Amino acid sequence: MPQLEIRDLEVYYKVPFGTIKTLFGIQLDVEKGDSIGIVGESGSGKSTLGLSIVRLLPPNAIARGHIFFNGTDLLALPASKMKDYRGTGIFMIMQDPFNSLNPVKKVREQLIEALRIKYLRRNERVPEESLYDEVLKKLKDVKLPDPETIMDRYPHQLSGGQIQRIVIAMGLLLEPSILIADEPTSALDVSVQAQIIALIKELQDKYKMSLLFITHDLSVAYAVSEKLLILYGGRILEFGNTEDVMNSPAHPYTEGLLKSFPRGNYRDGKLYTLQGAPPLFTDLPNGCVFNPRCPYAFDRCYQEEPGLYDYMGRKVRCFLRHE
Amino acid sequence: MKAVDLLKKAIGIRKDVDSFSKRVPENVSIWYYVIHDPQALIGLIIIALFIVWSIVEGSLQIIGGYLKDPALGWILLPHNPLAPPNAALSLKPPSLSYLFGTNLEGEDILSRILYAAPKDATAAFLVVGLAILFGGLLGTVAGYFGGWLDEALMRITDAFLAIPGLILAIALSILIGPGYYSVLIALTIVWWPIYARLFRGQTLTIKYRGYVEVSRLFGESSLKIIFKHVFPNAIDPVVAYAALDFGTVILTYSTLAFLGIGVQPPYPEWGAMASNGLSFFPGVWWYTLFPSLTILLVVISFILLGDRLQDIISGRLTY
Amino acid sequence: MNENGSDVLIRTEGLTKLFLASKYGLLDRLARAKPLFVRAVDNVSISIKKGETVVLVGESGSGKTTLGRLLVTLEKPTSGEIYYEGIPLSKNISAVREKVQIVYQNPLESLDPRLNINSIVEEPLLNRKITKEERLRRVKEALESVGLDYSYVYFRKPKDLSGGQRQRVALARAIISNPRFIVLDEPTSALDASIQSQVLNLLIDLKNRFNYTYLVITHNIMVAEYIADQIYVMYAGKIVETGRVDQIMKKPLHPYTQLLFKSVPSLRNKRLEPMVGEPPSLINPPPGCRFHPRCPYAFDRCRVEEPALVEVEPGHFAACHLYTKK
Repeated sequence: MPQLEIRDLEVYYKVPFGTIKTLFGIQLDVEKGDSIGIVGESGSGKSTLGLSIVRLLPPNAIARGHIFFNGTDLLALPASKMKDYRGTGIFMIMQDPFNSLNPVKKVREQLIEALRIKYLRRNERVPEESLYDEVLKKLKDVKLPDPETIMDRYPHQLSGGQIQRIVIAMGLLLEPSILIADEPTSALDVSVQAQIIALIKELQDKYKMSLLFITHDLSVAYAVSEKLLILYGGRILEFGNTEDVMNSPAHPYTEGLLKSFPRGNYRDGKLYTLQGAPPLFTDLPNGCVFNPRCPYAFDRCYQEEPGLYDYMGRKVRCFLRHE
Repeated sequence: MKAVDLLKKAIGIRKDVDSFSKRVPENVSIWYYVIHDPQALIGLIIIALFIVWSIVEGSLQIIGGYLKDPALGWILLPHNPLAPPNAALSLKPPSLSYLFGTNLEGEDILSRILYAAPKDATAAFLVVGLAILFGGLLGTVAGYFGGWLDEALMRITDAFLAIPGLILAIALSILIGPGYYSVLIALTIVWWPIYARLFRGQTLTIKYRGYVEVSRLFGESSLKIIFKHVFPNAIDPVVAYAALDFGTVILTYSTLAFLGIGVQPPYPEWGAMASNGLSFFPGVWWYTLFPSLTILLVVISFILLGDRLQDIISGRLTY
Repeated sequence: MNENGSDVLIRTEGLTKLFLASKYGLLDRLARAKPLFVRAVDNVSISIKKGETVVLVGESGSGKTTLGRLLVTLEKPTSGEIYYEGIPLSKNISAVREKVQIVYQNPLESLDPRLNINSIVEEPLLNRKITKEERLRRVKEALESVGLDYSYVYFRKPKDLSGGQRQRVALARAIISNPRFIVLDEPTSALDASIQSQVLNLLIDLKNRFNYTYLVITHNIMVAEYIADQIYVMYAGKIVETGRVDQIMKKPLHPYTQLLFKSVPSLRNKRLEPMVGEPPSLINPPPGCRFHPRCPYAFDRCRVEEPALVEVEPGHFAACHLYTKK
């Protein structure tokens, strides 16, 4: 049984002039130890997807459907029960790391608190001193310079990169079954980015965590993930093995995206471009969401929305791949 | 300012609006949200009534003053708010003809409340407007140029902000002398440092934005850049703060009148009326209650509207 | 490096920019405390040929943005000189300002949200003696050059446009005053992946039509390779390597460049090899080569002697003791 099963997930936002739907019939199985790169442009619904799994959507959002975590439907749980699953069950590294830490507590207290919760839930008794050592070791793992001093600081005294690493360390300390990371490296420098990616991968292998890595950058997703989920206009357009998708993209959007990446020098020729811009949720096209930009679109694409079809071991939302 | 915070707490201003503004479509105006929010709408309606009435009544009073016909000032009111003392009408409870009752001098309290409105409205808008103008310009210039100018201005505002506003206002009004305009001057002197700080803070972030730097490359003068790019872009968050602040000015202005500073009798003033009536409380409850309620109503309305504006504007800025 | 030929548009000599590391106020001055400086750009000499695209590659904090700002006169050099067509900049700063432009990473911050597109694009022309009709004609022309429809955009505000359209507006404002030299600071990194190639094509197209000289600042190696003629690699305020794009991409010489290429995610690079350590402090940079604490090949000489740029193959320079002769 998959660790996480998402069935018919739809998310709506209530706004003064009505409701806006931002996720459409998401189906996803996450097996233990999977690493899935969730790739989408702005307004694809990728952050909404992550937030709805940990049920941290803003109060005006409504999520419908089912998210089964080891058989329990998270969406049906009362809010008070949900917190038992956060942290050690599912941990999310947010895009804006500052909100993940308590501003009035020292870094050390917060990390030790996270560890206490972990051992409490496992019914293990661990002496306090070893907690400190474990925290220190993990901070060294995330390449935080001078961890002893930084542990005695408050979050506002630290830089974005330092905070991001502390939150990542917290996630790793909790050893969650599922780690969701929403653009965890976008606040970090290029050379640090590779360090963090390597670290997350290494720990994922070690503890058999499942990883959902949300990013706008296909090249980062390529480096991180074994499976690739392409989101566009709130829908899954393609889902499959990362190597397969990169080598032979099945959806015209994935194909166009990959073709438009610069390779070589401008003297070798113009870059391929996808015309137009990603759609807005307030103004989605009829039929297939990708039809205004699709070079292969035909009549049917404008009239009905394609389903998510099985195609060569992948899932693809395109009529061309449906026999 | 403490009183405002308490009031906000008491009426349970919503705090969950940030998330709401995440998916704001970009071509809807601010007023759309105000009208669709019951709290803000109530605030807006009351403020609109207050302003419209103040304009009408205020113009009548001014025209009456020019024509040497003060009676024109109360042509729309049920009774003469400045009527000579009349023992027969003294301290009458609310009735059909005197809706809010009468005071010790036998004047109609409703008429006096309505007659005093224009002065309160003028005080609020003049004080905040002048504070934005002087404080805003000083703060923007200081923030833009930096250096010793900035340093000096910030130390001056520190000195002002170190003294509680009400006490400073009382001291200044006594120093300048009694009267309506001296209170306005005193309040403006108390109010500008906050706006200087607000604008300086905004300017410090705006001056490194691309459009300001690029303008410098085009050879635009600093003064032009300040007026074209910096000041207009700094003003958005200030507007929301100012909407809240109108209520605070009215509250402070009324407090001063309550203490006997400002508009001199026999001209009516809400705070002074509440103060005079207090000695008859609770027996003659209407004497102090209705002026106090009026102050409360107007101040709350500004808070309801201002708070909503703040949510919308800050939400938009982070969009 | 200092070919003084007429095809060189911009040349810098020993360009250095120091920033105060912390506020140096009245009290510090009275206490005669020594001010601490950040050496953002340290003794940099580069030359940019007319019509060429030069790309500055490096991590944040390497000084690449400061160097770009120095070249468009947004910062004043602490020491060193910039020559624009052979004339020192300090002698004719106002003439140079008319010929240089800068485009920023995030168009939402570089376009005034209160102005409409017409006012934004015409701004560079306001201080010149140009008639209203002429101005309008040039605004239309500039917007057309960047692929925007004047009648669609002129009355709109930046927030009404998409990310790609906004960056096109920023480009239109940059080219309307007919500059010779444009600094592009991370021009595509705030854009969606599917929009990036549109803007890159547009940049090449504009350069071919109007013969601009670009300085592109980026950390994206794929973008750098695509748009560059010449690449400069910066590390901790210094140029550590420079050469033609094919030389650098095929055979990076400096250990930093080699490690950088291996650690940056790209579509060719499934297995990343992260670089160890952190960039050095610029207040108190390490002695000798600034990269030696992170360098796998560092030897004794690297810790004491700062390497100079040496020509390893024609046109390809590196500042590394592996290539300096004893």
